[in-house]
This record gives sequence, C-alpha cells and structure tokens, in this order.
Amino acid sequence: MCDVVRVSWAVAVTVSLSAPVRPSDPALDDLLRRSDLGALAPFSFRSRMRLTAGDKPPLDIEVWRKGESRTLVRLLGPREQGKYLLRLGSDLWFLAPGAKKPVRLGPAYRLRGSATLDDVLGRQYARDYRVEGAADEEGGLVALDLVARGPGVVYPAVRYVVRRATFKPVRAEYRLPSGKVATIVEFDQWSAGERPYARRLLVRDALHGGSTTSVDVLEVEERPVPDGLFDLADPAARRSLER
Amino acid sequence: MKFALIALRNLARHRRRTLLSMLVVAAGAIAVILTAGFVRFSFEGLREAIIHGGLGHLELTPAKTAGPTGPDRAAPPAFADWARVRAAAEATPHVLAAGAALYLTGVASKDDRSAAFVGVALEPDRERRMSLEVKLRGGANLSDSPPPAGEDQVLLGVGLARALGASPGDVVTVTAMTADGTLNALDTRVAGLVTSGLQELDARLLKTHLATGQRLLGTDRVSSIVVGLDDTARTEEAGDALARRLRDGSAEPLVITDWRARAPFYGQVRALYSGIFWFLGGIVFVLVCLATSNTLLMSVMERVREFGTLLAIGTSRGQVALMVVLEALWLGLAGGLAGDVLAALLVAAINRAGIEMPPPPGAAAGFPLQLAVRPADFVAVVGLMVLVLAVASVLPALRSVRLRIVDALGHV
Repeated sequence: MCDVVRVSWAVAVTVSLSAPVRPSDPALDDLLRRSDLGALAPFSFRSRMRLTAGDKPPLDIEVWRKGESRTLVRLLGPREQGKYLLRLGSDLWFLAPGAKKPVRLGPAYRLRGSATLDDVLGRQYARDYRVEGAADEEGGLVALDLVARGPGVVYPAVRYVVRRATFKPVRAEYRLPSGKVATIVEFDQWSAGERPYARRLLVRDALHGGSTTSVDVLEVEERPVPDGLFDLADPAARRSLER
Repeated sequence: MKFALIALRNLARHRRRTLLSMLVVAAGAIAVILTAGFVRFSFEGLREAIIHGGLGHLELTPAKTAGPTGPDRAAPPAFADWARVRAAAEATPHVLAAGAALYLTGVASKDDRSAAFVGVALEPDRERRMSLEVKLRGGANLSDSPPPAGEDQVLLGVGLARALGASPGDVVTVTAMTADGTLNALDTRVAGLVTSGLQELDARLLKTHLATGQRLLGTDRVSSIVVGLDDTARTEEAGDALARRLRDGSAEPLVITDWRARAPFYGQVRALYSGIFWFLGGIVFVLVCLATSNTLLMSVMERVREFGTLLAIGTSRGQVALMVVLEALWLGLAGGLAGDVLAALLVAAINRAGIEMPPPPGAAAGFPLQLAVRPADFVAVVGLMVLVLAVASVLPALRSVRLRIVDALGHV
C-alpha cells in the first residue's frame, strides 16, 4: 500500500515539474514592454528625489545610474554628507565616511519608510517577469499578473496595473511567495516629453499598518555618468560630487 | 509552670525516645533552614545580578518613549535635557551615580561576516560608580573619556564576537539607523569581550561609549538615565525623592521605572521558587508531624499505667493531656534549637566548600553555592517546630484522656 502511495506521489511530482510553461500572449507582452518604466529609462542619467514618510524629516537623494546594473544613490543633507548606497548588479553596498570598508545591505533595505531602492527606481518588469494572465479593470485599465522568470527576484509575483490607452502604469502590487501583497506602488503626476516618468510615487507598506512613503522626483537629467562613481574600492570620483 | 517542669522531667526520664524525636525535629528544622537559605540566596543573587548587570535601580525615561517596563528601546532617543536631569539625580540622597544610556540596534560586520546586535551606549566612569558590573572575558573595558572620532571602541558579547570571528583589537563596522531614519556606519575597534550571563543575549550584545553611540545615531540625545543606589532596599524611597526633585525642575515629563518593573523575569523566578519552597516546607511539616506524632503516641501507649496511676490519685484528664502536649512542645523547642545549631554548622561548611552550581537554563556560567541565612530564620524555624509538635501532640493527648482508670492500672 505504501509503495503505491509513494509511486503515485512520484508520478504526480514528475508530471507537475515537467508541465510545459503556458505560452504568453504577444499583445500582453507588448503592453508590458511598452509600459515598463525600468526598460524605458535613459541608459545613463542623474536624478534628484525627495522621500517623505511619517514624522521623520524628508530625505533628499541624488541618483546616478549607468545601464541596468549600476546605480549610485548619494544621500543629501548636511548630516548625510559622504554617505552613499551603491548597487552593483544584485549587490547593494552602503558607504559611509566613518567606515573604511563598504557595508553590504540586503536588497530589501528601505531608504525611508517602506520604500526600497527598487521601489524608487523601478523594476525591469519585461526582463524579470513574464505575463501569466490579465484582467480588465474599470477606467480603461489592464491588470497584468506577472510571475518571475527565475529565482533571485525579491517578489516572485507582481500585479501590474496599466492604462491601456497611454501605456502608463497606474499601480504595482508586489506579492510574497505566500501570495500576500507586501508593497503597493502608485504612479502619479506624469511628466511630459519623449521619456515620461512619474513625478510622484506613493509606496504603501501593505504588511505593516499600511504606512505610505511619498517619493517626489524633483529632477531627471539624461547625461553621461563617469564609471568611477561606481568603483567600490576607490572613492575619488565620488568625492568630486561632494565639492 | 509546674506541669511544664514535670513534662521536662518526663522527657529526661525517656532519654532514648526523646533523643530520637529530637533528631526528627532537628532534621526538619535543618531542611527548612537550608531550603530557606538557598531560596533567599537565589532571590538576592538574581536581584543583584539583574541590577548590577546593567539595569541599575531606577531608570528615567521621557514620557513619550516610556513603556510599562522602561524605555521603548526601538524608539529614537528623545531625552534632550538629560545632562541637567542627570546632575539633579546625582544630587539625590542614596544615589551613587546616574549615567546616560542610548539604546542601539543594527548590524555589526567584519570582513564578509555580519550579525545583528542589540546594544547600549553608556558612560563607563559612571557605570563603575554605580557598581554596574562589566564581566570581561577578554581584552579591556571601554576607556572612561569620550573617544575622538575615528577611535571608537566597542565591547562585544562573546557570542556576537564568535559569530563575527572578532577578537580584541579587531576592527568591526557597526551599522545602525540614525535618529532621522537614515543609515550610518562607523568603524570601531573591539576593546574587549563581555558576557551578560545569558547565552542568547551574548550572541547579540554590543556596548560602546555614549559618545560613539551618539556619533553613530547622529544625535546629542539619549534614551534614558540609569540610576544606581547605595542600597537596593532604598529603591522606593530614592524613587520618590527623585520624583519630587524632578517634578519642579524637569523641562520634559519623565517616567521613573524601578528595576523590578523592568525585570519581570525576576518576579516570575521568585514566584516559581516561592512555590517550590512552600511545597517542600509543606512536605517537611507533614513528615515531621507524622513522625513525632507516632513517637508521642508510642510514648502514651508505653505509659498507660503511669497515666492510670496519675488519674487514680486525682490528676484530672485535662492535666494529663496538658502534660502530653507540654512534652511535645518541649520536644519542638529542643529539637528546633538543636536543628538551629546543626544547620548553622552545615551552612558554614557549605558556604566554605565553594560548591559550584551548574549554569541555570539559558545562562552562560555556573555560580558558587552560598546559603543566605538570617538570624530571623533560626528563630522562625524554632517557632515552626513548636507549632508542628503542638499539632502532632493532638492525637496522643486525645488518646491519653480516653483512658479508663481500671483498664489503665491493669495494662501490661
């Protein structure tokens, strides 16, 4: 009897593991690609943002980005002088004037309130996720159910709500492996121009009381960014930013 | 008085039986005294270990960050007027010293290893004046003077140091959220390794100088002020005096919490040990009661003719019963006193022997066994034994009053 159960389980597991991935809908893939803010961002740029959460003073940051994998966040303000967050691929480092060596941080490190670096800078939806399903919502919106293409992403599933007519995202709901919604990001106040961006993001912590962090994008400048800013060992180029 | 003397003579007449009964009573007295000594030693040892392990007797916290068991350690430091309050506290009678405390949480890292810590930044010179103990397990204590920037030092719990692979002299980077909610990191040199006495805390413990803590959190505020007294018994009195002094002089409302409220663990341990003590005491009471009652009953049975004669010559039944009870009371008194003497000798021997007890659950080290016995215990035990024998004598006394004279005189 035991052997029968064991064999049945083995067959069931084998069948489930070898089940083919459902081919995605080209129209939905196109919708995701055209609304993917991360992919639409300039190759290299400098940006300035203000994060506000609760009763804490606002945090001003300057973001330097080159390509998809290199991002430097400079903390602004007299008390934050010389502090940086450096993202190299999937590694996140904290650099402080009081510490000679960089300190490694988890990818879920929160800049302020409930906002992580990825919440602020956007994710590469088309690259990291595939469309598993879609549903129409009121007001000409489409909710795309995204599933991670592979391991290594913080959230294995995302519900990405997009306005079909303009390809602009309205809301992203990040889900944990349990299916529970962890964070909701709302995109608001769009800029005009060839590369539009949301001038305000509202990041809501859906797990811990629903506190909201407001991210105001004050400035975006498409420009070349020196490689030296992303050198983990040599702070010389970063020092030039402090002058 | 006359019957008391007669009862005493009766005991002297039956030396063997009296000695046996006294031994039973003395053994009970010894058991009670040793148990009481051990329980009191445990209570006092735990209490002083908690207080001098870093808790202090009293803690002053701004009302907005105070909870029922002291400061909210996760809240940003909110005590702005702390230097003036500290001076006022130190001017209060029975206060040895008062020191600022800043609670920290974050991550300590060395090379590619990192571990979360719970820490406290304090003033080492005042910590010493408060008699707060630093249990060093390597290296040295923090320096008294505030370290200049770039020369910050930390003490690591032995478990945390093991997790980081750090030893005295190594550089450890300490990362924490500032009071404004942003991240900061500092390179610190490990001055020494310490133990709190609790393994779980040792795996997370980090101590540093107040100046380093304030530098890390980017603040000039502190979380609370810890107050050390010259006598734990004066905690309430000193707390009231402090409250009166600070009511008029403090710019911000403060909450004073004594050590007992901040150490609910102590109350739990005390309740548990008290339960064990009363349970054991109850068993001793019953055992001594049964054993002596049996001996007294045997004594009555062996002296039936004697009691019959007494009744025949006019002694009342009440007087005979009284004599039995008085004999029991004398036994209780003598046995209790003998127990006191033997217990005193045993306590002295045990305290001198330096017996090492194994570590309690969760503790990092054992402790030397010392029995904390007070003179009042010896007096109370004698009283207890007299009471036990009074109870034990009820049945034999009843037996003696029910004797029929004719039967008793003919009893063989």
